[in-house]
Amino acid sequence: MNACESLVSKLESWASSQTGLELEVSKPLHSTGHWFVTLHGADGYTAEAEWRQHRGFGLVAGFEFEPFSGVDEIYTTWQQAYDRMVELWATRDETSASRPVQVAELRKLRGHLQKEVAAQMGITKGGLSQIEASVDEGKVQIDTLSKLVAAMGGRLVISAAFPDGTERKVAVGR
Amino acid sequence: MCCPWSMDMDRSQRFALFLAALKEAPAAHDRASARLLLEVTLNRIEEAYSGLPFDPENWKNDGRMYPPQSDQEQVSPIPGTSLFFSLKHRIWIGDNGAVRIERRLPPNPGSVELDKPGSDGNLCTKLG
Repeated sequence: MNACESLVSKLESWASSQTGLELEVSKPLHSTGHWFVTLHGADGYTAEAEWRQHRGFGLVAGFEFEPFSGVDEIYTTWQQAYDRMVELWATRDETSASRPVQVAELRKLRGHLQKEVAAQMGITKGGLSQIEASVDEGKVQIDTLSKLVAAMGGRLVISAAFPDGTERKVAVGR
Repeated sequence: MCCPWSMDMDRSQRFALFLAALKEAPAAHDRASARLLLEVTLNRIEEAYSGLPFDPENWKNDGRMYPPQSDQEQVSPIPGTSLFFSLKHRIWIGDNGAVRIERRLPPNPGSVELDKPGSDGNLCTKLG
């Protein structure tokens, strides 16, 4: 059973207890192609996962979608995709590629445990908890946040957005 | 209201241009030329009017539209056609060069946005 079949199996079990829901699964023509798993609501709400074998699950959800576009959220494992789809279904939230995530959620999405990231930063697990809380409160220093993102294998990018729609990356550090 | 020569058209305007350009184009002769017509037309419009770089490896929604990839080909229930999924649409390509673009996600799932016959005059739904 591949990861997408695991997602479908779990969704089928969950869907049997839901009303006004239709589960649609579309299989690719080629074995390495993309699967599409879609939850259709009677009210027009839709949540869909596109599975790419080596990249994970891309999600979109809402009442209206843009044509020929990419996905809004990407999850590594079928369990993460399942949890998010069930959450979306319950809340009727619409996904957005620019939806901000809390740093602890980002760490979980990237599949890192607190102790792993803390070790990478050379601090304790409790220290990381404090940093994550300070980020949520907007009281973190940029270099600390930069180290946290680097410990997850990423690079911090800061942008400035203006009411006229202009958005520019801000150079921070070298 | 955007002018055809201005940049930064929104996605729905660009999509309307794409459909209009496909309708006006000469009919394709086979599957390969139909796919090429779709790709070239969409990429040309996005290059001219989106103001966004071409980055098909970026799976996330970057605001630009991309033609369906070979990996997005699904099992087609209509013989003589290939079926591709993109976000929001089913795209049917006939062996005769016909192209059908149909909504599969809201709003209005099932509605047909384009039904262009192939060079033999037949639509995708008449094949098989």
